[in-house]
Amino acid sequence: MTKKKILLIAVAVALVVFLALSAKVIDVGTEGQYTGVVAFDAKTSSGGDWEKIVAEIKDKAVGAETLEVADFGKGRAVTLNGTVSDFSSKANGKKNTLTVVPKGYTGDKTFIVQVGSIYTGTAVRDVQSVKTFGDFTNQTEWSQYAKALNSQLHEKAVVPLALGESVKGKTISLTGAATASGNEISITPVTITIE
Amino acid sequence: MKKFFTVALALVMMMSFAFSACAAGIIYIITPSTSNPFFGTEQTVGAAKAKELGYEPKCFSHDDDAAIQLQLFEAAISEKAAAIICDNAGADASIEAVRKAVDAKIPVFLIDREINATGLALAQIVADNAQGAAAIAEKWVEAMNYTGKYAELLGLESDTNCQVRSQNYHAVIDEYKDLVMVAQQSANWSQTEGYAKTEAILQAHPEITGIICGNDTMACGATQACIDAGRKDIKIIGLDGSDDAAAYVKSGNMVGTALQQIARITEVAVEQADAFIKNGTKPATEKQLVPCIAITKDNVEFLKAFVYTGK
Repeated sequence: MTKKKILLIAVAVALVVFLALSAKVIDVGTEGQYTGVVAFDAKTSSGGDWEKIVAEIKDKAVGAETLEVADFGKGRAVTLNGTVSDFSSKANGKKNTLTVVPKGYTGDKTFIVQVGSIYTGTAVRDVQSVKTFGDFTNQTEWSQYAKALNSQLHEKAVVPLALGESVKGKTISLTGAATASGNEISITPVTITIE
Repeated sequence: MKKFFTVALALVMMMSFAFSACAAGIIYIITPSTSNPFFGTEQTVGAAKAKELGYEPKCFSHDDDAAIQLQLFEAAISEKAAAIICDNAGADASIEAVRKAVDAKIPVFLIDREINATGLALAQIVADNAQGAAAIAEKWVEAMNYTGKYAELLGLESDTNCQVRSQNYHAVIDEYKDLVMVAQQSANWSQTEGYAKTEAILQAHPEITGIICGNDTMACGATQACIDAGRKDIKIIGLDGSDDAAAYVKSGNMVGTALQQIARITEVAVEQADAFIKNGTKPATEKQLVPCIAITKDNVEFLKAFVYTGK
């Protein structure tokens, strides 16, 4: 072994020892204090935005019965006023929907309102502009945000109504986010009033 | 082999120096191996769009080797390419190549896969895997009638998309307590592994009525295994939107898939490159998500070669 090689190895060993001694051990879960990167919490994030999102959807909403299927795209903010013609309950009562006939409506579309507790889709997230994908680190957080918004609407708009079979025949007015599939319009509500 | 590749690359470069002077510029389109038609679509669609906009497209595959990818980026730099469109060879491993191009003032537009760095590429345009997985999981849950035992075939576990898809399948499915997963194995995105793992799972858990798969290749393997075992009752989903999966959806052997609109994504990338080259217009946001489309028997007729023509 040449002198040069020995010197190199000595320097390398010294460096490793130095690094090992000088490293600071950080407890799991406290990284954020050092890096400034704080774990994403969809619930907290969506909670703070909720009032703004409801206001935006109310502001942008148009009558769901006035739109053509092609107008819905990724989602549209809508209002719906009419009569509840059916209450459907699937998956052991976890996937409930209302069928609503808009006041004076004579068209061929069916209007289905999701009332949880499980919600399908990301319509509420997709119609709002308070937060965009760019505000999140990755697709998974963006997806969690949609789910968190659905939980918000369930807690704030749907749970207090304690909906069941007895809602049939009642007058309903709501604001929400809608998507279309064929002639079926699916609405995720953010506010509901039942008379 | 690599040496041969380097020599070939040098030849191609020399030739292109000679012939490329007249176009509005060269656009490099660098993707994984085109043996997967998904990546083949990136090259054909990207090249067609580039030509249409007056550029000379040059398509290469890095075969998921970051070293080859770096050589291709260096070739683009020495050819003074107008832009690079790339489906990259690794979220961390690709950062160096992208940085080199950006330092050489060549704009980079990433498609399909993200890298773990922002502020380098002008665009990272990817399919919304989270939304796509959730959308097709919702169709599957309905097909299962909200109840039953099932198995999951995962992709390559080190791959981000494997995790994103699985997480988002479960975000939907796990809300239904009567849907119970009894087996979860990796089939590494592979059709033959998908087939073999499914055969074994059907032996060990004959009670299953559903299989969720992280991509279409594995789903096609699983579907064939179920057909061969006489288990046409099993509800299967995948994700990608390949023509093979579409054929199984049509024949009723698969519930569905989620189409990653890779043709659309590639076109958007070339259009954004064009806007930047001609007018200096940068995309409004770097990270852009293109939604997936849930494909079932109701709309599978509109799917061909990763292009959806339905409304």
